Amino acid sequence: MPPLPQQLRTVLLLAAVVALAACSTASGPDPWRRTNEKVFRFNEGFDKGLLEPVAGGWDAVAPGFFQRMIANFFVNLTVPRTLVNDMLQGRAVELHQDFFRLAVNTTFGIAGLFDVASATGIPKHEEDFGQTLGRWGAGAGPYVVLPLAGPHNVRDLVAAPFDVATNPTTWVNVFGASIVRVVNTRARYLEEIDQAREDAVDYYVFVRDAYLSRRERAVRDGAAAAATDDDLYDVDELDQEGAETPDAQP
Amino acid sequence: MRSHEKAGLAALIAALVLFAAGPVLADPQTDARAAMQGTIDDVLEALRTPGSDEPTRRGQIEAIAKQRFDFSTMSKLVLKRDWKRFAPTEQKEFVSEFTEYLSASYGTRISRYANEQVATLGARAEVNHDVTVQTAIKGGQFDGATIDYRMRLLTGKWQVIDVVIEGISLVSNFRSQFADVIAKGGPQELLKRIKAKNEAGSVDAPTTEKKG
Repeated sequence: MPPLPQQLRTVLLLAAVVALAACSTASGPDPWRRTNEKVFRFNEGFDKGLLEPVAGGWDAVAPGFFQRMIANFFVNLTVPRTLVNDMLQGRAVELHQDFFRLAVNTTFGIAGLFDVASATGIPKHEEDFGQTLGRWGAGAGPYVVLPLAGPHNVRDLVAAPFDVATNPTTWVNVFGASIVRVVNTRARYLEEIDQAREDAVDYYVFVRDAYLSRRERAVRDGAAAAATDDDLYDVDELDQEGAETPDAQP
Repeated sequence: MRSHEKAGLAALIAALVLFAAGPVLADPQTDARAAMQGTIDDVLEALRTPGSDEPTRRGQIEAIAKQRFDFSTMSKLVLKRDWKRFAPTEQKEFVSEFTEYLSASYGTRISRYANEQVATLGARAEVNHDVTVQTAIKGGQFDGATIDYRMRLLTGKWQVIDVVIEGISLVSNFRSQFADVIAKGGPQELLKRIKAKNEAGSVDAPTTEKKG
């Protein structure tokens, strides 16, 4: 199928490239760190002061299976967005599978409350417009922490309006629904986030790197980045003990 | 058939035989996968032992991890260039503290997943002869989450040198965190912080308020 009118595609890609070029300086993935850290601290304060306690309360009264049903419901509503992006990326097989996932879960799964599709072995994918831009060749751009909305890269920021437009949850913008979704999601990660905070030597850096790696992999879809990663796993230079190799850094 | 043709044919056959036999004689993927499968089976067994409480399970898993993970190589990978800024005694200290820190963290996380299954999906040979063993969690809240173990043949044994959870590499993530600390406060500052983590037992004694 024709993915998208070539002109529209060019315009979108151009917008992304311009946005990225404007800010991709030489200072790594996080040139706006000072501001980012302030916003991050604000978000942490919001989470600890309000969201986490509320989610904890929700977790205390809502049984696990119920939380799961609610999560399933909202995940099912993101499948249309995945379908659109399957098309834009020309993924025929995934498009086919995701269409059946949506159909099965919306009907047999009672409006998405039950994930019947996974139980019957239909594979699950998540595609959004940020991933599509990545597939089309746009770089990730610098890291940005948004108030309340949290970690982003510029590519995902550029994609955000499109992702909002393709997510049915946002069409019927019932405010209560968003609150339920956010609180329910947070409740499912109480222990995980708690432990991540405790484990990290620097939680800001932990979150940033985890976010950037995850998004990178989402774009590559698990395809190995073996060649670029190789340096990560190289200890040879370190094993030449006493061989006083001049260090790259002063 | 002329003699040089015969020689050519013989060489071709020899080559075919060698290539065909190669993977059978030594298949790193199979070996690494079998090694990791053994470790995963041990972990699952520890998780399912009836009557054991979480601290016991955590201790068992820590012990299993120490057998299969090469924490010394992981330490070098995590510090990378900064490794040389550490004096030999500091290096030793770092390996020991980091081993404590990582195995406790791994033990705490895994000990929660008593009801999940782990499926080994495959093994991939990497460019530098490492092997990545791909696994995924089956069932429970994290159904489908991928955990990849990067393994290396070290002194005749396949050892884990990185764990990649949902695309997030432990080595890579810790390197970023540690590089930052070292840049600001040097090796001593990093050692101090990791020791504080270990001593506080923050990873050793998780919150007791969790429900079943």
